[in-house]
Amino acid sequence: MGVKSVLASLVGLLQILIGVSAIIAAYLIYYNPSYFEVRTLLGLRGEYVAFSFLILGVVGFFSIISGILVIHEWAFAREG
Amino acid sequence: MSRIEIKSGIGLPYSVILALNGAFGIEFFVLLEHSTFLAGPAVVLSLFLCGVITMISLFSYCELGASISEVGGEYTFAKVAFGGFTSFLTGWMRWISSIATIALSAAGFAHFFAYFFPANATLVTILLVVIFTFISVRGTKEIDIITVMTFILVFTLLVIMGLPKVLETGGLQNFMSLRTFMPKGIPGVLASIMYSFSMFVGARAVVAGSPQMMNPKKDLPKAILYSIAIITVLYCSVAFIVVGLTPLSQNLTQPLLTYVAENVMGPFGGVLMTVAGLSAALMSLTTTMMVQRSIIRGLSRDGYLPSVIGSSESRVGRYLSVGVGSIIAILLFITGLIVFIGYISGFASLMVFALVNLSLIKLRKKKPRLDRPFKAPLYPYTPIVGAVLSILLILFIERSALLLGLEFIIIAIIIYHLKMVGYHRLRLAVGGVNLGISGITALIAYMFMEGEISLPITEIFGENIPNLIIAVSLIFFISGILNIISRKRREA
Repeated sequence: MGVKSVLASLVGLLQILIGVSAIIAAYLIYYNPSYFEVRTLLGLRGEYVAFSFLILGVVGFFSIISGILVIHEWAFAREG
Repeated sequence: MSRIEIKSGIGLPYSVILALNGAFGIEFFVLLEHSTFLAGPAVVLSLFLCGVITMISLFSYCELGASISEVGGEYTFAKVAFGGFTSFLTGWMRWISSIATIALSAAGFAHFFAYFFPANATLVTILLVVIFTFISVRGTKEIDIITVMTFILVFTLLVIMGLPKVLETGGLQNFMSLRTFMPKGIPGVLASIMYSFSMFVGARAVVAGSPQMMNPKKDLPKAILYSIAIITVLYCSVAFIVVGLTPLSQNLTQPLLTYVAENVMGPFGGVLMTVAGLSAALMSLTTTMMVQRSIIRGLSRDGYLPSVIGSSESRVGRYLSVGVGSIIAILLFITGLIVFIGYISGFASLMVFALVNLSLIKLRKKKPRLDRPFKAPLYPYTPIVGAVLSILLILFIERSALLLGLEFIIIAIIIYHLKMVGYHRLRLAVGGVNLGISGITALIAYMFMEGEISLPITEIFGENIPNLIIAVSLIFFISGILNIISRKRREA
């Protein structure tokens, strides 16, 4: 495994991690559980909840897909 | 929910049973409570209208099911009529609807299981979904006719014994004035219709069985008509008893139907309804697992998903075809957002109904000479009304669920284009978007540092917030570059 493959794996994994975190954040913003009131922490007003949910969800899913593509292309592609 | 395994050479009585078998799922047990909250006593009206709308759309199902006898259901109808993205979207939405139903079944099971064993209900339910994932790979036995008869019996018993109690306690008063009948007005009723929709859609199961019917031209519409009529009458009657005996403001610690059954029939009623709820959850799990497996294999067969997922010969493929959906369903179940899952199920089901109605209109024009053993009555009004009502009802979904539904559509577009535009072009596009996100996050970090943006969280984490955003920007930038530069081209 070359330096580029290691870097790609690392970046891909980090991007997947960011994606998952964004989706979890979207869920927490929507649900706003009593043990972790994200809306209060971020000072997020009620009318922005749906918008934040959409943005974080889209960016989260996109980030996961992008991370998978990077790993697939650079880390797992067969030597040819 | 729908059943795939069917007996050959089936007549009208078994066709009706087949439709009822699909329709009696966990949805009614789980969704009725919030549906009542949305519409108040007018939930009875909501359920009646749900039945009517479902019947209109099921006429389209009947025509398409009788003329296109290939396996694949809605996905195949849309494939023959439109092909391309529309057919993929139909299959995708049907799959999402199946996942939501699995999550609802799990939630319903946990809810009813807690009646007997309050501790560890969540853990037991997750184990149950995992076990059913394995069972569905190995194949399941046909659910007995007795199950359907038991449901009819339990609900009928509840209605017969509950009616005198409703009259005694003055529960009828809620239906006497418009203010008490519709506390949230017409919007509440429409939201309730949208939310309750997935209680009825299971009756479409019978369409999948049309090729095995002795006389589908006559029996299919009759089976649909009779089953929807039976379900509508039963559900409306049970809802009437529920509304008549339950104060709307009451916070219940047990399933609503169990509470009402206990109220009407004593502790025996509670046990009876709990057993019925558990059976419904298991039925839903069994059949939905099979439905999602069939859809995934269909999408994989046509190249929309990796071929290994749809391979019936590969053991990995068999488990993947149900495993992916089951994992998502478990995650949805763990969130505990039952109402939210109900909305997702309703959204996906309504999207599928709209697409099936549009498929019928398209196919009438595209293939006018196609052999149609059954024709939808009052064409083109029935499919147009079915499609328009389905789309209109989607507008009454809760906003966050609607946004999530739109995200599902965005994902569908991405997956579809992954196949259509080619892998390398897609990577270029993804790379470009990555660079865009990197630029935006860098700008946000700069605004943080300049004090243009300030959040309460900044006081807790200090200077770490801009640094974290810069790191995210950098990761997206590198990922963008890696996606744009092709490894193969560089190596060539």
